[in-house]
Amino acid sequence: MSKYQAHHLIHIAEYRKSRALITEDVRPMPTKPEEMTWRDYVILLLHIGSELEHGLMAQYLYAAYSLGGDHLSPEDQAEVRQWQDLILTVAREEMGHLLTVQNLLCLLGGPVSFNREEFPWESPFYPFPFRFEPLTRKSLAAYVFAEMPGNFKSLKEFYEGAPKGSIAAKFLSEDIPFIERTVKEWVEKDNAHPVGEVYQLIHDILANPDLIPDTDFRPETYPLQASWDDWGRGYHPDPAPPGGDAPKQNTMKANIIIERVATRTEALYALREISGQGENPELRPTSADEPSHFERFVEVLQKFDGKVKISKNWSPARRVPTNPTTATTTDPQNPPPASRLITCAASAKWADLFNCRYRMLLTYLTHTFRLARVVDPDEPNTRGAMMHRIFGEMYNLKAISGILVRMPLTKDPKNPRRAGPPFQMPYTLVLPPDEIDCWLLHRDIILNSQGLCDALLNPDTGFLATTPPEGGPYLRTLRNLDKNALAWVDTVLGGLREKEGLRS
Amino acid sequence: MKIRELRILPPLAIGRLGSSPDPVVNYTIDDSPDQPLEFREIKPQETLTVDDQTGEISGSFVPTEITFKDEAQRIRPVAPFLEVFAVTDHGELVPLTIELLDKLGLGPEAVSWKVRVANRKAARRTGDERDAVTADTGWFSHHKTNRLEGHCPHFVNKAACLEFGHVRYVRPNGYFPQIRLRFVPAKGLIYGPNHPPPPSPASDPLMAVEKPYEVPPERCIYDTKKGKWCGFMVAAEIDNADPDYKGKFMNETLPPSLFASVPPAPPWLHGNIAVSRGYLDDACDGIVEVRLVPKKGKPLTARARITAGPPAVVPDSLFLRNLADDLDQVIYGPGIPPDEPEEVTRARAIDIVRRAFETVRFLNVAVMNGNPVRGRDPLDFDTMPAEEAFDTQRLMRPIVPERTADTLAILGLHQHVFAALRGGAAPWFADVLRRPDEVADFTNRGRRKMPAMMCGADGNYLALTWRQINTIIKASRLSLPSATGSAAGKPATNPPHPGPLTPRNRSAQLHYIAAGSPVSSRPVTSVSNCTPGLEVDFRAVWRRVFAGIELREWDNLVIRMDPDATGQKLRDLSGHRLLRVEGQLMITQAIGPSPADVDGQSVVLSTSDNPFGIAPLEWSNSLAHILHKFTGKSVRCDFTADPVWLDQARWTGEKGSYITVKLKVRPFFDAETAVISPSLAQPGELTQGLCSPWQNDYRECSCYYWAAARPDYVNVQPTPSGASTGDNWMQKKRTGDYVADDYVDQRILHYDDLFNTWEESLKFQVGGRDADKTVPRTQIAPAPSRDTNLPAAKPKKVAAKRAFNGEPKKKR
Repeated sequence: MSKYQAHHLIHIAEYRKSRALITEDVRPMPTKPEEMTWRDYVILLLHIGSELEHGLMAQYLYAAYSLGGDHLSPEDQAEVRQWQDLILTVAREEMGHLLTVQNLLCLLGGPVSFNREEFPWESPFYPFPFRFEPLTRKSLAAYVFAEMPGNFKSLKEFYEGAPKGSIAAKFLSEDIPFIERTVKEWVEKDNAHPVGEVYQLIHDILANPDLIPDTDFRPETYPLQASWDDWGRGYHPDPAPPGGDAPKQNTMKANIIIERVATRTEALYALREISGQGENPELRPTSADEPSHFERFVEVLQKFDGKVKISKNWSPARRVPTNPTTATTTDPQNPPPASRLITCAASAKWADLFNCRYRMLLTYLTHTFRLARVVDPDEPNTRGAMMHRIFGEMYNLKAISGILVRMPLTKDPKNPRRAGPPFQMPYTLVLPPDEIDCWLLHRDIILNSQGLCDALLNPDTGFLATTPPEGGPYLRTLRNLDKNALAWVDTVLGGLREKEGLRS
Repeated sequence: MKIRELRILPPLAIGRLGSSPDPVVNYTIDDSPDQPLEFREIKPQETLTVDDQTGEISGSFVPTEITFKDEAQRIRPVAPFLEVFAVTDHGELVPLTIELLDKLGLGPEAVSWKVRVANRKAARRTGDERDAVTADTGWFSHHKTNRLEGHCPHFVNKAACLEFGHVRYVRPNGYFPQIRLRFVPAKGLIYGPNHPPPPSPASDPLMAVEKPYEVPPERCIYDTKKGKWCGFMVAAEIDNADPDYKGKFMNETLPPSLFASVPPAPPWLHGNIAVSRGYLDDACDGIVEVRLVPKKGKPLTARARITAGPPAVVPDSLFLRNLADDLDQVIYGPGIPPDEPEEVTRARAIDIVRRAFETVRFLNVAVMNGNPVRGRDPLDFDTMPAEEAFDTQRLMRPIVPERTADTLAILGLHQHVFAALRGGAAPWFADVLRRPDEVADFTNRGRRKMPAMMCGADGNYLALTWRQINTIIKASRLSLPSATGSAAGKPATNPPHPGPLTPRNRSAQLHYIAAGSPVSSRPVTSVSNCTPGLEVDFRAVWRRVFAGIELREWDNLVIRMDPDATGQKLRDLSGHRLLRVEGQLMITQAIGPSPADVDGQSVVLSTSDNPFGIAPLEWSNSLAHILHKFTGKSVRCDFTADPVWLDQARWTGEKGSYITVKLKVRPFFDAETAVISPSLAQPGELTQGLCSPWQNDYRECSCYYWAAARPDYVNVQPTPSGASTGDNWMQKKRTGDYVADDYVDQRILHYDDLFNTWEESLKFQVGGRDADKTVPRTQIAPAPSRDTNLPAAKPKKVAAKRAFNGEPKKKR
């Protein structure tokens, strides 16, 4: 994590330690790097939070997409399908956290950021090396730890005295020791810590008007921020029925939290909300029936344990690699450490297509925040249309992942190992300064995708022979989608050019 | 071989009106593999030429183009064929041909036909059976044209008639040996009274019509002295909606006053006063019967239904919930069998999503969402959010954020879903599908469920059938397909094939494609679950589903008793309301957001007329489980303890508030066939709730009732702003500048424009553009096999047919 200097990060760990030593009614004073203002520092911390959310989301998606396979019995397939849904709900919720962090950045006048480091990635904030891997007991243990409230000690205290045979008792006697062992394997030093610490520090800095005065806030950005109305898409608890009873929670359903923020209080509330759902339930403002990410992962872990007890080598996942990568984005002779090159030509081409659509999604996402400032936020226009396209790209990533995890990893047709979605970051997410050039960028990415679809469909390449039967119809549909998208982009570009002409 | 039974296939054939003497040629629609998101490709098919003189098929040809209107701008009618099949003693279903008859020592004259059709639209409103127009051919075996002359006791004399078109027993020959009948529907004419109607009490010189329609003298056949249809109105002193009103009950339709009324119209903008002009149209529905008299034994008979309705103006799209969906739900039940092959469930789920985007693209989503239209109050326009606001007496709210509501954007989103599903992804959106018992959930969460912005049979937001919903739910739980293909090793067809044609396979019979009949004659092209519908009013089927009582088609009111139906004495339940069947509620409660906590708390949307916000549920979905489990059995029906003619009643479960009566559930289909049972609907009853004349409906019912069948937004294209632009389909001049549907805007087709020139005014849409004809995108396919389950035609026969036909002849 080269862009953050070590001493930027020390303050987080220090702060955590100091909090642990004090009583609840005394608030410790955070510290900051000397060369930075508090506002500057909190923006840096929000960028770190954004990277973590993005990284977690992608990691959970990879784990979820790895699940299933013909090696499972029909009953296990059905059960694993439920685990997949559960992990995907957590990933969707991380998306909400990611957007809320951007809203906080807007409130503080900082640049929005959807960037993250390429995987594998080791971060002092992260409880374990950041990597894409199929779901295993160990990776699941890492997710439980990442989303864990407090620390091992506090958890043990919390669950002490749980009735014999209960889930809590099992968690205490079996899961916690296993998670502890697993985490120690990865993190040799004793400073492993859950993700929520960053939010704790941001929260406490923002809570202090001496550090961040009211004048640092930009409440006028409120209408430009991402809203649940735009991005939530039904992932929300039902309103309470008439009479005031609490709404019935569906534990299998994601409840996306996207908070818009105009004041300090709202900013703190938003931090508590996203922390409570996931990374730091201590901060949660209200007790909700909704299970936290931690609880959801524990549920899967315990079910996983049950399966392993019956069959030691049981695995819910396909044989997908850790940190898959493609030759086009890395040096084939020298792939990044701990990554696995996809050498099957057809699979590599699909992986390129995946990366292309991932880039498309991130570029659209970045652009919507800028468009909010240049178009009428209340009218249907490019911004609204682009939001829908972002969702469309999420669906494409899902479909392409489903195809990739059933395709060979290597050139050897007998090798049972499968490929996986590489989630490789584009070389940049920085948008060109001119609006026209942003649209030319969209155009380029669509054309890239068309080229990849054409190559995959080209009978001379033989790629389709290695592809599952749904691949061909999907590519033709995608090509059709891209044709329509291109017509749309060209129309917008035509309008911008005309405007430019009129201006000049 | 012996013949045990007969069948007529298809069991329901849809004719479509048009005044051109030449029916539309045969065509089907199909996905384009390379352009799967584009409009379905219209493909010409083998068209049968019926010789006008002899009544036999003189040849067949595959046309090079399809023209929906002739040179004189007359719409070509859709004239379906109905084929007779025999159930053999081997349990097979085989075409009844002259060869088969010959084996039995019979000729074609052993077959006779009878057709009864009716138009009961006026009778439905006035409650006077003598306003029903009926036609009955009696039994006939000849091959001449048999006019369907509709007579009515209230016509000026016995000779006066309204023509419903004609039928013809096609003379079989060596090349086309099957026994079949052709139904050629009427021209789409409007008939009227012999004296003009009285002026409307709401008469306003400012609202005078520039060119009022005048019924030609020869069609002024309704005698105003005999009947009350002309000038009919719900008298001002009758007010069903008034809770204190104790006078005569008026059995209005839903929507009320769906008929051509004396200007000004529509009634809801003019004091709810509607004075009928006394118009009748030549749409109809009825029953076709065939009879075969063997040398020995009893005659064999079979039935089918026909209906005649408006043209299918969007021939290359299918509506999200069509009549076939509802009929399939009756056949298969609301659930999906656990052993249904995964690829079949998947293919059906994909087909639903495809039809979703085919429907969305004809909606101006921004307007239908309730966005302001160029600064004008969205309440001025006819949309579901506006209707919801009127019904619940609450402020109007857009359904989704205004900035996200654009047709091309929403279309693209649906198409992305379609792409992902085609790529093998399992549906992830089952949670956002509206359940049929959530149709009156007007919270933001409820209104945003899918399908959005459209109206269902109960006047609330449209829901899919349970079977459609359960298809998506089941597909959502499926794992990724095996990398080598489906379990059976075969890709699934889309839409799924209904299976082999056998005497017991009702679905295969329902979806049977008769030779020469275009796809627009099939139930897949008929909108369903609507208020009221276009080709049929499917709500009408359920009125007599419980033997002994007759329900109102649109709510839970018992209209009258049918003592003959049960043979047992039932207490008089007239005026009572059916609240539960086997413990399942037939009503729901309208809820909406609490003004104090819009997203977190809901409240009952009570009004002074409806203090508990009770909303009756549509029959097709609410009775789906009952019909599936209890057909032919008695069920416990809970009614209000007392008659409640005028108000909705809630279920409290309190002792004394209800009475329980056991009633038998009638079979939906006639014996083992897929024909809707005559005990459920007699001729004319499937269309009696529709608009009179039907042209009126195109003016009054906006696209949110049937978006893909009565389009709203056409010639759509992107603009530099990123949003879309296009024309209103009802716009007189195409400008690319959408004119919002406003009853006083002269730029929009008005009632009398449609009465005068409906064939010219209603523009067919091909590829989303105004077009009266199409040229196929691909090379014309050879004559298709009509049903893959039937034995393939012998090469020798085909050759003979060609020799016989020679050059393609003019079709008829």
